[in-house]
Amino acid sequence: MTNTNLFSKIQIFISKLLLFTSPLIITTIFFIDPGKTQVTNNSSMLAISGLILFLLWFILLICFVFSLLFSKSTRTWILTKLTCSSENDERELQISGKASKATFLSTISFLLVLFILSFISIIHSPGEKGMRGFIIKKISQTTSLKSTELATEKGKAKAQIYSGTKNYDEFSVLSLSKSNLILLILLFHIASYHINRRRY
Amino acid sequence: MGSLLSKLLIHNNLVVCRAETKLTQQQLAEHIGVTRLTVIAIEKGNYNPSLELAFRIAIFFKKDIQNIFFIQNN
Repeated sequence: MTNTNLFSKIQIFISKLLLFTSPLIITTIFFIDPGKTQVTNNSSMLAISGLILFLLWFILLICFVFSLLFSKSTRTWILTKLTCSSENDERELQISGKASKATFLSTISFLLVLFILSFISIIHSPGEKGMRGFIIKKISQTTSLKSTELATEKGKAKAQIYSGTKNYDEFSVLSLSKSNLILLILLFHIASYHINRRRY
Repeated sequence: MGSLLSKLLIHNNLVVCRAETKLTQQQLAEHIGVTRLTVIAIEKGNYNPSLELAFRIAIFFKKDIQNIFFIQNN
């Protein structure tokens, strides 16, 4: 019991530390590009200590998000505060349950739509208006680590059949980066939960 | 009474009980351990309290539970 309490206290401390320092760190990242920052013999102590603090913060962040996965109490405490969900009495508990079910179903629907869209690419001929054609990628191409079929001679020939031209650009319908896509799904999930809570 | 499988329309006279004791919705909510919104929902008939909450309300008003919550015949 004592170990559990100590562990919980450490988790709460880390979460509060991350909460208060994250805006400063994220703002600093926007103005300073860590990729271009090099530690040399002439670097000031301030720059070196800033880099060390950033690394410590990042390690704490990684540990924290993994603890969210494995610690139910931390997950409940942190995420209910972050998502502004409250369960003060039995009625709110019931509403929360109904909203959670509706959110679960709507998020699955959203993910299915994204999954289908990920198979579709639009072929566009530069200099000409409108969509020339589309290719539905094979499942093996979408899930494999190799380049798309269009990079091969066979793929180019197929594209020519669909587009009727020899010059083409390929655009994926789902052209978001991985981070943006995950962020979109997260925001959709949270928004869906709050909308469903209001409905009930 | 109709079929037991059909949805029962449970009514209550919580408004009357509260008026008799001259309590506000917020005060009643604090006494029975729920939010004011829950008291409003019960009074309007939008929410049926659990058995525990219904008994808590009855004990608080010192009345029999069936004097507060009842099924109205169609």
